[in-house]
Amino acid sequence: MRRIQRLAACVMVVAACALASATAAAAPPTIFAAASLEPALDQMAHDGALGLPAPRLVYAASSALARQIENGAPADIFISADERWMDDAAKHRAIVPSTRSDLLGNTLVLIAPAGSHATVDLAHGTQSLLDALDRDGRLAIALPDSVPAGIYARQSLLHLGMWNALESRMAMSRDVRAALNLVVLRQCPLGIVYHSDAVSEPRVEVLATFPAASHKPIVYPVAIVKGHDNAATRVLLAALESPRARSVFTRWGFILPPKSRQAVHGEAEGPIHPLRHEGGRATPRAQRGGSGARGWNPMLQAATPLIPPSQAKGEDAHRKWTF
Amino acid sequence: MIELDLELQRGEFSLELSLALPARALALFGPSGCGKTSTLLAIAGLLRPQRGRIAINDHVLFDSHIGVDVATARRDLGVVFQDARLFPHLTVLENLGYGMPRNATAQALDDVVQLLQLSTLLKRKPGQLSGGQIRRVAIGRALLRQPRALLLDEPLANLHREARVEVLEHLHGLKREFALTTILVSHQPDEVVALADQVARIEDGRLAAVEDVRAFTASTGIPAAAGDAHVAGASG
Amino acid sequence: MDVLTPAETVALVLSFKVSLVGVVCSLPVAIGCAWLLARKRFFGKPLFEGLLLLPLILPPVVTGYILLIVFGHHGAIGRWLDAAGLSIAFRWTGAALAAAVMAFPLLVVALRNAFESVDRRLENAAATLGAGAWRIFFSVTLPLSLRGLVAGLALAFARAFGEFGATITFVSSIPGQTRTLPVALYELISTPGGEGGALRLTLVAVIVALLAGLIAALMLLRGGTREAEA
Repeated sequence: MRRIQRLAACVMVVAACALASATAAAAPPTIFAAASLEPALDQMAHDGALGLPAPRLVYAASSALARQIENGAPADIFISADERWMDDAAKHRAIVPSTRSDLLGNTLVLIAPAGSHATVDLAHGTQSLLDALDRDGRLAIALPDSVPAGIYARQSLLHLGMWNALESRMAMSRDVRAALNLVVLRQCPLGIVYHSDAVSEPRVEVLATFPAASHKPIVYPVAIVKGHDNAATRVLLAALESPRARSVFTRWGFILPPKSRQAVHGEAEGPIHPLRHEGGRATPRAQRGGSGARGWNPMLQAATPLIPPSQAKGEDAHRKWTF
Repeated sequence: MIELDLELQRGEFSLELSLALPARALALFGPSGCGKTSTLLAIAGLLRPQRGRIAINDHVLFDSHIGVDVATARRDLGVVFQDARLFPHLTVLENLGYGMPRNATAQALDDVVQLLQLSTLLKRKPGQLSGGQIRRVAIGRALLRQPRALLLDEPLANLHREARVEVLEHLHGLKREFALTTILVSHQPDEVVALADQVARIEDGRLAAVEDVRAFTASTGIPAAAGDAHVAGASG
Repeated sequence: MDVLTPAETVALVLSFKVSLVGVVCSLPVAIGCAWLLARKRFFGKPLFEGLLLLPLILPPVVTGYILLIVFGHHGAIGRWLDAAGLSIAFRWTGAALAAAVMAFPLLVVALRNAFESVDRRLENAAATLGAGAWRIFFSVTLPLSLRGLVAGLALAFARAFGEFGATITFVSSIPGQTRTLPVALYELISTPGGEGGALRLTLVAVIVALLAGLIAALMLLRGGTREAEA
């Protein structure tokens, strides 16, 4: 009896290994994407806009993703919610620098649970926020040291002179979607998330938009992970940068990345497109001028008007080009 | 008056017993495995018979017909287990006092300590005692409960010769001093002869005979003094 | 403390506070459950056991989420707590609850083993001497299972100390309130340049875990050879 059991165990182990390697060989491409991209990318994958077989999508805070990729996680494409983490990945030689470009932009908004009837006025100081928080309510943000959404939130609040008063009234979450969730669940009366997060969630409402000048531009860089630069991945990258993808992104509340960025790439053909696709290459970072510092001046950004979710969904991508 | 009418099933073993005796000291005698310890446990309330009635001096402890099953803690019995079961984390003194009723006097404690010669052992823990000493403490503990009856399970088992003599002497002393109703379980005739006045012979889970201790002595052919001057016809 | 930054020290002290309070407060409940499992038979016992082990099996984030919707604001129990001014949402007490819940199965299992190792015959003897169930427990069972109890507490404390997923999901990270050592560690790992702090905190966590394991081992080693005496 024992011999049979041992034999059965061996067979199962071999079969499992075979299955694992077979699956690995046929694995669909994997995108590691910042948490805020979840609804948009899920929809694209579902609609086939990202090709077939639909890629595997892994969402987490950009910090966690970057660390994992730096440690050899099996991602093909990395979309970060801020430049810092893409820079970090580049520094660790985890990405293919020539494939890096800016995929998207976003705006930062203050939200409350839907139907909360709260009003805040960002221009006139902290008091209205504190009032909205009431006695023991907390402001939900992502971790302000490590998660991009939290970093931008802190920049904005610092710029607006509200950080010191609000610092002790915050609840900091692992990533921006967890912060969003706290507001959805009514655990927190206020939260700071991306506009794209607010658009995707009918149970929250936007109270105000943080002026784009109050924080560094929110940019979502995309790049191919080192060692995964192949035809299939390039096709996937192109799909992400295509007009079809762009229209989905804008419908989900994203904006296209700063125009000044596009100018640096040069060689624009015909109408200005921020990204070139199908054979275009993003200009390597070193050539853009200023290796450490940002290549553009945040003050060039005009204040982005608040775009009600209903309008954003129906809008045609090309109209966004006028800044 | 000891009334034992019970039917007990444990796995494949079954015991059926029915007796009522005006005995003060009853011995349940039989070979190992005949059911005598189970009977004792049933009297103590640690085993529940399938049916029956157990009453001691008109105190009903168990009666399946009228639905009486007094909890062990309230049966007011002093049990001396074959394995003594002293609490290893308590001193001899604490063990002795464990079951003492609240209104017991210090004198009562002293009397028992004197009688069983435990005064030098009071601060020790059971781990520091000899077999005979352990047995004595167990007896003292049961006595200090001031129970309505004393149950002894093979009180002299596994003791060296000297210890047997020692403990037997003490038991005799107790018999004289306390006149407690006693139920004794044993497979050794000399214990029975020394301590009981009525003997119930149990074989294979059945009551084989009930006899006076004198008749028992005669039938087992135990010499009147097996080196033991205290073996005499028991009280009443 | 010069070895750790002030923020790290705050996190360390908070972790000790949260874990100690969590484990100590859950001890009576754990004792009750362990005693039931060790000594009583009742209908639905396997289901009861399964429920007690749930925090061990569920992903910590799931447990944290359940805590959030039950004990958070507007939660089934949370709303009563809020009304009574005893809210635990986003407070260190909430972190203590998360830690306690995650450590609970460990504590119950250890206690159960400790109780089962106590000779029932001694408990029976105590009963014949007139002791009721409570007295038997406190005078016989508990003293004789003390080693196992201490071992269980040490292990449960270590588990509570290291608790992360449920904590951050339920009470987020609030410095001084819910940013325990593991949460601070996570933040440091997530920050470029935070490796130094992460290493320091890792060392602390390892030392705490080792100490707890040592205590548990010592208790169980010396206790195991002790048998109930006649």
